Amino acid sequence: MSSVTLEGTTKTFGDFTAVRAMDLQIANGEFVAILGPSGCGKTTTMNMIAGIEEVSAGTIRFDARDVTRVPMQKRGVGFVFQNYAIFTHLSVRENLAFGLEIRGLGRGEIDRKVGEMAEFMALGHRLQEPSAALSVNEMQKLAIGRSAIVEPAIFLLDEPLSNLDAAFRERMRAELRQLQRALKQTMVYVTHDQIEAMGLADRIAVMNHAVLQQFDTPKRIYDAPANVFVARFIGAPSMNILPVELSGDAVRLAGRPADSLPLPAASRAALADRQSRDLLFGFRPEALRIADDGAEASLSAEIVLVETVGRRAIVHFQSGTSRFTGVFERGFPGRAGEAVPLAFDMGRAHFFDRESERRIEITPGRGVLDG
Amino acid sequence: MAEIRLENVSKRYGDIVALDDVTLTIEDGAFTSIFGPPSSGKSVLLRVLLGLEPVDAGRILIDGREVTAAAPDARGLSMVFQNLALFPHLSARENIIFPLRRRAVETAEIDRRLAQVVGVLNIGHILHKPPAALSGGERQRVAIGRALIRDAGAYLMDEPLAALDARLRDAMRVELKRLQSELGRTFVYVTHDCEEAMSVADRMAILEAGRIAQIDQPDAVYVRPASQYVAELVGAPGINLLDGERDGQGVRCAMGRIAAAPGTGAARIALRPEALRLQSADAPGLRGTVSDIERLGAFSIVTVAGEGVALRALADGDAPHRLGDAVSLAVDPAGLHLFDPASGARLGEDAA
Repeated sequence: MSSVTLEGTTKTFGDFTAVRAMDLQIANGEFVAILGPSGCGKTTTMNMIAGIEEVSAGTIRFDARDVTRVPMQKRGVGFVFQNYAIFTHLSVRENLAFGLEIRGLGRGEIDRKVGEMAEFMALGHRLQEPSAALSVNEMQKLAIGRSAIVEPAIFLLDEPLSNLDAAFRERMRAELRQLQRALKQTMVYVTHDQIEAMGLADRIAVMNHAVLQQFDTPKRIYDAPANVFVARFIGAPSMNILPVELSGDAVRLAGRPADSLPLPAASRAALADRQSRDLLFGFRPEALRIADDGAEASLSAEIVLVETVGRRAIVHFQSGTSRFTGVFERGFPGRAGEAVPLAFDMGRAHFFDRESERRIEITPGRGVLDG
Repeated sequence: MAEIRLENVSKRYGDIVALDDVTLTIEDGAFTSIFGPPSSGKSVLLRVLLGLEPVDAGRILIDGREVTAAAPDARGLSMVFQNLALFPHLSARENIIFPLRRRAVETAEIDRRLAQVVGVLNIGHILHKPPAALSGGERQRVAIGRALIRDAGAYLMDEPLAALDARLRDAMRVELKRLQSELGRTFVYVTHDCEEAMSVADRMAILEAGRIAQIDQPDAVYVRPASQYVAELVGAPGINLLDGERDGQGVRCAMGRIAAAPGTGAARIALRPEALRLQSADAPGLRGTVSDIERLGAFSIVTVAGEGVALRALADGDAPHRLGDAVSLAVDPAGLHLFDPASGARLGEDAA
């Protein structure tokens, strides 16, 4: 196990900056996901940690040791790629034992470790089989096991589940969490899939356009996204982010002067010096409810489309000039063309500065006094 | 507009049966999705429909007219491919009207149809640009425009959104749905993405190893999967499966007993994660211990293990449970399905 520290770590390819001045401190034994859309610099970041890509500027340290110029094979990292790279001419057992044999471990210890890992990966009964006989899913599992078994100080995984089918991906998420709990390795996991990052990581580093946007726990990333990009990238369907009219103690959606959404005291305080034109208003689709009879502040919206997708109904609304989505349980009663009263917990609404797109911090404590 | 019908269509490649006695009606003016995992036969189905591959057996009819041996051009179908296949040297406008130019359609008619397509796709502002200057979503619209500008009996799409990022995909599927309902034309949409297949379509055909496993409204497929295969493919998080034994009024499994439709004998129990509600350990239900919690923001997946089996239950994002908690699971019968352990066929109400 090692901690990993990136300081001002930058990668340029000619005029193109793939990773810009990245600062990241990954603790010993921590599971960190690097998350972002394609081209955001996440794989380049991992490749620099692995030593596959040279660093253009800045440093990388494992614990106190500066590894910025240390070649890959001397860094002690394990690596699992998107396309499982296992030796198909070897048996499952030989694949698992390979790294241990290279390191010159004794027969007994190799057998013990191979047995444990095979058991853990539910491949115990298939140890003697040629690995070519495994399914695509099992091959990737074997690839992960083969890298994990040598207990690298740092374990790097690059979209390891992206070629697997949906049901198996769900199972592998659970197995990877257990593996990490058991081995307590420092794990860095690159993915474009926000569900994987949320489900696996202790902390998530969200990247966009070569720049780190936020590095925080999944809960904080979901509840308190640093900016519009993070807010929209995490959660599906995406957070609704709309222009809004602010008038003292309430907000209104554009084109809906009649529907007033009162602000909690904490939000009022945080927005006191703001103008409508500076603001974006955000709320998650799952925060939306059908309002009870008149009792609470509500917003009238017309249903544009109801998508029933398994357990959920994703409902598309229009109110004034704003369009937004809500997520409800299946069996949503409304139909396209109908108007419905909607409500949401304004205490959980987000506000962003329109210029910088950064979230405006609302300190909940200030709402309690006069709430 | 056209109804498309496949009757007993089979297609083999050497020893591999790609389509196995497929009978399927694609309704006129409806949005039909063809869904299945890789190599279940969905792309082959599309290719034989288009006439890109001959069938080995069976008939294909378009509006009652047999086209089994007809050339692709004679079938009156229009196609959007996954890789879009736009001409890089042509503007968006020239790409869209290309199929009409090729068919020597009059200029006035071209302009009329272009105006209509541009209107529904909202792409007037990008017509002058070459594909390289367009975003992914814009390119997708242009490719769809090029298919729609043809006066075709049906519009076929092969994973048209696969190359787009998640947010754009969600937005585009709503667009497609709107487009189809506005135009009222026959759309056939092939995808391996279950949520996409369910959200866009009026009807959904699910393929299993070259056969139709089920065809129905997407919601009906979810509520009443015809087989274990369908139940496993449809829905996220995935359905739980465990073995049980029916005793006349219920079904017994390792973690307890669930009231169910009458019947006796072995059954494969399938439980949707949202049909399992976590309760305190002393409440009646299936008993176990929390072995994993996956917090995913809007919701959590809590795994409850006991007696060698594990069930995944859907819970709130901030569910208070911890690893090792003893819990009981209440089962909502709406999310309980029983299947024959040997054949995978649905058991229960019909068998009773």
